[in-house]
Amino acid sequence: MTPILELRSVTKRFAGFTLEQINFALEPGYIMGFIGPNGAGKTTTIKLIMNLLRLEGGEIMIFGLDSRRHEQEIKQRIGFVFDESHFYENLTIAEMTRLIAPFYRSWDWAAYQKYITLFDLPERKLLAQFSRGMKMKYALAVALSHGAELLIMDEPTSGLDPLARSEFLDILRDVILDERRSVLLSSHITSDLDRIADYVTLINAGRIIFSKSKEELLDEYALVKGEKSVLEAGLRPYVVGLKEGQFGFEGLVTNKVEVQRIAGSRAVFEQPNLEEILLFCVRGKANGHLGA
Amino acid sequence: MVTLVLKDLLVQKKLLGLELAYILVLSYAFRTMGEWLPLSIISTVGFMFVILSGAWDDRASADRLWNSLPVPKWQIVGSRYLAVFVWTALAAVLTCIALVVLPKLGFPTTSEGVSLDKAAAGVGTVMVLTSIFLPVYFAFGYTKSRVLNILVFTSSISLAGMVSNFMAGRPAWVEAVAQIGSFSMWGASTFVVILLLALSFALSLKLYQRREF
Repeated sequence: MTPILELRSVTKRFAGFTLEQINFALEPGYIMGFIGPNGAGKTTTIKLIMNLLRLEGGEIMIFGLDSRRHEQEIKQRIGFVFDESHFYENLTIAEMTRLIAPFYRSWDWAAYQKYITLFDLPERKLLAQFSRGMKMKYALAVALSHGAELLIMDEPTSGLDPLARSEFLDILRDVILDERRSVLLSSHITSDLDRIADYVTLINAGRIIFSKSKEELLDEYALVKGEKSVLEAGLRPYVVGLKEGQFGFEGLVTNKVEVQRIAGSRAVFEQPNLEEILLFCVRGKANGHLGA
Repeated sequence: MVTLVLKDLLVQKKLLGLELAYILVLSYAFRTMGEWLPLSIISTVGFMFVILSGAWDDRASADRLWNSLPVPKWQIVGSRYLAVFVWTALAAVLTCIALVVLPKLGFPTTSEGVSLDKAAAGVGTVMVLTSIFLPVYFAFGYTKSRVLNILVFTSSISLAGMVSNFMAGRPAWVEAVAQIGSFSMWGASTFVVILLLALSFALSLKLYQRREF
């Protein structure tokens, strides 16, 4: 099956930052969480996908089409949610939608009305009077109202208070999962993705660390705690990230089965969540200290 | 593209009252310019609205929005040029009405009314100013082009005053040009302005295609 989104050796250079050889693919019907710390290159990658930045190397294929040569055709089939509102604050959402809708060939007013009602958005209120959460819900309503096959969301939950974030994620889960759209959702709040992502791609310092299904990640990685002597008994080659104390250690390891065989009952194994995987992968082996 | 022009009108609709107030202020402030007053007001008010359109888009970082939608860049650039005609026409109509009505109400402004050629010259002036301003705006965005705005804006007002004084002396070349015949002169001027706009559009599009958002 042709991936709905595929990045091949994508490269972009800025003064002081380079996005280097980015490769990953998203299959149709799945949700990919695109995670990484602030400044890792998530927004740059998404801007390259959306042609908001010029590609310097590699290629981006969306729906099997080159993202630069078929830009308009592709954008007809994409719904995009920014990390902040770029709507005109002195317009109502009714006015704003009247400006956006004509650009989509398959704009569906009935679907739009459904989402506006579902998200409880007042159509005659100025966008300036909307909370950040309401603006994000409006952006999502717009993204969902033209039959988009691929939704791309850049940190949609950042800056939302916990209540608004939870509500936004519930909407995402209910609406998107029901309709089985493909989604690329970037976030540095990994708990958001624990709930909904099928695939996870981790980027750090402009490089992809991994791009795998959540099941693969959970099968492959384990959180290990134990005495330092266990670590020295052959565990180190499997350690991805490590925090060491005077006597004990806590680390993220790959090849869970082999590590369990080596350590036996001398270590405690736990299932890591995405945040722990992200933290250990980004920090690496060198700089972690238990209790720090 | 028409939708993007409509966007400019919608976003600035509440400023139409300001436009009227501005025309009143300028009608009084520049009243000594006599028959050249319409040119000054139309060019100042018309160009002001061209600049304000850019300011609203900058405030919302709207370039990111429009470039994430299926909107070709030539439409984004073209709509800005198309909107210039709307703003100038609006400025011209309101100025003409104001300069006909205001003296009758006893408002201290010029009593020389509005001649078609001076109003047309005002429209042409906005087109020329826009042709200079928009390529810089599309290359660097509103914030960075603000310095040029101020320069173009203030120099246009000063220039209008200088031109009116200069023309009052009826120098020899003005007389010579007048002999060409008004139809040919206006035809040539219109051609030059449209050519300038077309070149400006082509340059703006080329520069905008290089922009990153």
